[in-house]
Amino acid sequence: MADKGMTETLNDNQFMQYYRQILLSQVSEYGQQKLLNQHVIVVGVGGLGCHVTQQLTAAGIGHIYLLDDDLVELSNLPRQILFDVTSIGKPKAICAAEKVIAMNSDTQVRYFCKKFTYSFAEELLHTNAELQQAHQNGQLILLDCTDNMPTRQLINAWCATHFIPLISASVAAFSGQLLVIDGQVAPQSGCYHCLFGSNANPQGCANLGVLGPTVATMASMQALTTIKHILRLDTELKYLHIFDGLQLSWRQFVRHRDPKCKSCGHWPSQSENQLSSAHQISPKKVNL
Amino acid sequence: MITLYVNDLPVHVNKNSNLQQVLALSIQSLNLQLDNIAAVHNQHLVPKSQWAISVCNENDQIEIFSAVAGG
Ligand SMILES: [Zn+2]
Repeated sequence: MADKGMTETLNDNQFMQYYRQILLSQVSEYGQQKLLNQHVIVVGVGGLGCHVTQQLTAAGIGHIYLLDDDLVELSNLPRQILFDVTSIGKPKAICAAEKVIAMNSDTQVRYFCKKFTYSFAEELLHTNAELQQAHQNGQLILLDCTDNMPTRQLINAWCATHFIPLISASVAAFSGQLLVIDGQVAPQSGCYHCLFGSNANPQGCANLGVLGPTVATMASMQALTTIKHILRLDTELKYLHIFDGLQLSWRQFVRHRDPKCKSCGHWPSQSENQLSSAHQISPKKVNL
Repeated sequence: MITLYVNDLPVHVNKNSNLQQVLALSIQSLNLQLDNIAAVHNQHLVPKSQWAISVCNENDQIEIFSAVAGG
């Protein structure tokens, strides 16, 4: 099962390029191959989306799908690091794609200047054969980098329906929140809607303000969490992680599924696999 | 009456109060709305539908915080 959809072996150049990652026993050559075969949908190419896309591209994630219907504005530049003054007025998805395509030829970047809607997500999944195959092989993850609650709820509902692992990060003022939602691996921890109801109307960066480094901190944690989830190294699926940028502190709380949740009601009650045993990456030695 | 802690501050409530009652009592001073918050009861997040059936005890630690939705 672990090798399903694994098409690439590393060539010499890739081995050199990713050597510091491969050196980690938890990654190894096998883990790097997994990253190269992974598909990641990034919804929202703002502060979080720029940083996370840059980091995942550099790490050698094989397929990235960028989704955003916004245009770059001057006020984006302090934290949306894939853009510069020449990007202003242009679509974020295109500007970001152009930057990261130049970073790593191993990463196939596709972009969509679209708002995330349920119907668009369905169309994307069902008309893109490669994406569909990745989903069937368990090689698809979605990252929520959006800036508003209705879209976050919509993304959560769509991912929950299709059992697509969702890595959700958010930031405003000096606060950040991060969680991994996976209906197959950790159904007992519930989904985003189990945590925050649809009626929640929190303020975003537009009202509260934010500093670039706070955004970058959350995006780095989101990228790290993504890589760990792909490599099945994560042990903290049950937590909501909360960052306080003023105190430089993290807190974590145990999440629980809402038995009355309308988004994840169809999930099984228990995990199909025990994360600790079945999801360990198969040990392969690196030949140095 | 029992004493418990909401965001580290002591609060006195009737014995057998449930989380819903404690939250309703606490949010005004925190300037928050019930729809916008998540509640943690002794390190465990409690889904909204369970607030009314989560009984609070002496010295319980309750945390209230809002969703953050920016990106
Ligand atoms: Zn749910």
